[in-house]
Amino acid sequence: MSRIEIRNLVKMYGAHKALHGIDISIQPGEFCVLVGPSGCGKSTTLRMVAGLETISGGEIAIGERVVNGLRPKERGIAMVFQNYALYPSKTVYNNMAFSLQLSRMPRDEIDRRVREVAEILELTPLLDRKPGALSGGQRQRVAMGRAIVRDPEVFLFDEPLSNLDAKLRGQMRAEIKRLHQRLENTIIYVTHDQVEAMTLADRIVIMRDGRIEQQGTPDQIFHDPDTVFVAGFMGSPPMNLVECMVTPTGLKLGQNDIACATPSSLRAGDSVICGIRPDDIRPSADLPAGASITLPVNLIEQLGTEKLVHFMVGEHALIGKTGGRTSLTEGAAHPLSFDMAHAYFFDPKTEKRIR
Amino acid sequence: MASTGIQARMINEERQQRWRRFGIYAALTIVTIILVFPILWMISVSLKPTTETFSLPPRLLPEEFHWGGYAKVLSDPKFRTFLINSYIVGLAVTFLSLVIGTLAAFGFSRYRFFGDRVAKLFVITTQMVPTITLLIPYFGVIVFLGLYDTLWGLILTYLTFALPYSIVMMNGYLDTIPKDFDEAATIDGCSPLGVLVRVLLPVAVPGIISTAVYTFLLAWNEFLFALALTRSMEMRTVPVGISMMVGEFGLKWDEMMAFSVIGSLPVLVLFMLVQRFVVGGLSAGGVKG
Repeated sequence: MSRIEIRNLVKMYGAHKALHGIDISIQPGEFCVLVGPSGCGKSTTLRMVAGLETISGGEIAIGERVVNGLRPKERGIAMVFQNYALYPSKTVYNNMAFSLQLSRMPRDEIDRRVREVAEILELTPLLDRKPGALSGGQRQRVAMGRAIVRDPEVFLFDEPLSNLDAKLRGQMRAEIKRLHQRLENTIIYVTHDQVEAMTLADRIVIMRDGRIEQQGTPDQIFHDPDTVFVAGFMGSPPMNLVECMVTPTGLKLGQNDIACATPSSLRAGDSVICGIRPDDIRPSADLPAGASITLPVNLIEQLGTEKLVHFMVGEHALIGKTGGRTSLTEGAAHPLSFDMAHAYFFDPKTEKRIR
Repeated sequence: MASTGIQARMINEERQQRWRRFGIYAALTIVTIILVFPILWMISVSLKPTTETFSLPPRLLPEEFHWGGYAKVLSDPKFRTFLINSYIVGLAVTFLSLVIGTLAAFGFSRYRFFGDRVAKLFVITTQMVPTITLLIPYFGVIVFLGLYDTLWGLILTYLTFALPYSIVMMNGYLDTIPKDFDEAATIDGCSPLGVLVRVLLPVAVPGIISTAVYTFLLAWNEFLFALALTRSMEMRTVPVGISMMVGEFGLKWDEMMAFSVIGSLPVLVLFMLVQRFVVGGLSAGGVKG
């Protein structure tokens, strides 16, 4: 268990600046997820912590040590790669034992550790196999086992589940969570999957174009987004984000007036981006308290326990939700309620939250 | 009605298929005969007394097996020297070009450095010069180095031919191995050389073997430079030895062909071994892909 301090981290590729000064402070035992669209710099950050990429500026400290000049093996880290990178010529046992062998650990100690971890990960019957003879999920577990046997201060995960099918991904996600509860190591986990981020993280760091958009607990990120980007990134289906006009009584959305309270800094006639999650737009029968507008529904997606309701307001396509048993007809107009108590307001220019 | 039509078409297709297969086998048979005949003839002549070599009509199987050629060649210490020389040169060239070539290829494959592309291009360009034009300059260099009429002279010369090939070949091979292995091994605590030796080379075994076989054959079969750069009987190699039988002993076909057979044996054995190794997945399974 170690804390990780990343201070003003900069990465240059030639003249291109890939990271613009990242600051993250991760507590001992914390599960920190870096999330963002591809090319946002999350993997680069992780690889710099691992020591696989040089540091162009700033500082990384693991525990109390600044590790900038240290080689990967001296940093007390273990890493799980997206495509596992298991050594094809070695058995599962030797894949897991390799780093311990390199550190000249006594043979019986290596054996004890490998077998113990194999037991935890249910790999014991597979120890003599080579990676080629394993299924995707088994390879994934070997890759994790290889990291766990080293008992590192910090685990680094680089999109470890993105090569698995949906069902297996769900299982492995739960397994990683259980493992963290059991081992209590500090973890940095990179993913582009927001479900993984929400379910696994103690702290989520959302990145975009080499900068941090926002960091906080999953609750904070989801329910208290700082920017339009964060609001739109987390949640599936994503938050509805519509540019509208502030009126003395509320908002003008397309041709419709919606009565609601707006932040005091806004004046009538100001333009504002209003964000409202699909969960907060429901048929009026479900949500009597909201601001109701009757609108034509043009598409209904049946997800089972719930239905997604697609509709247009002016030229904006919005999505609402309703229970799976509610019957709505596509093409017909239905009264829809907007729960404006849970609406978010953003400045259209800076894209920052207006509170 | 429809079913008879389908049946007719099926019979037709079957017939076509049979003809196609017949064609393929016929072509393969002809090519095989063309390729194998000289070898069979070599073996055949080596087992006939010289008087029977050009008997008409020609016979592939001798009337009675004549082992005199083999007996003479095997009992003559001169021929043993040729064989030993060829083995020394071949194995030394193979070993050196593998070690140096793999290290160079590792550099080209895994690191970016100033002038790396130009250097790689240069390596390939050396292969484009016709060998014969190099004979005189090489002769000069080898004499200058005091290596004329030594096995080291031959080893050095062949190394210059074999190295570009093994660099290019090993580079191609290492390029197919994902860099994730390097990174995983680095994190596990390997030095860069450790990555090469402990992780990449075990995966690259088929590439190493085929490179080794090629370089060995190159050194084993080379004739021109071996003839020009050595003078004494003690330094001659197998191909030169075979050629010398033409002038010096008259034409003792049985001995010449017997020695040719003995000289070809390592080549044949090597090829059989290689076939076994090159088949099969290279880095299958380690990386999802």
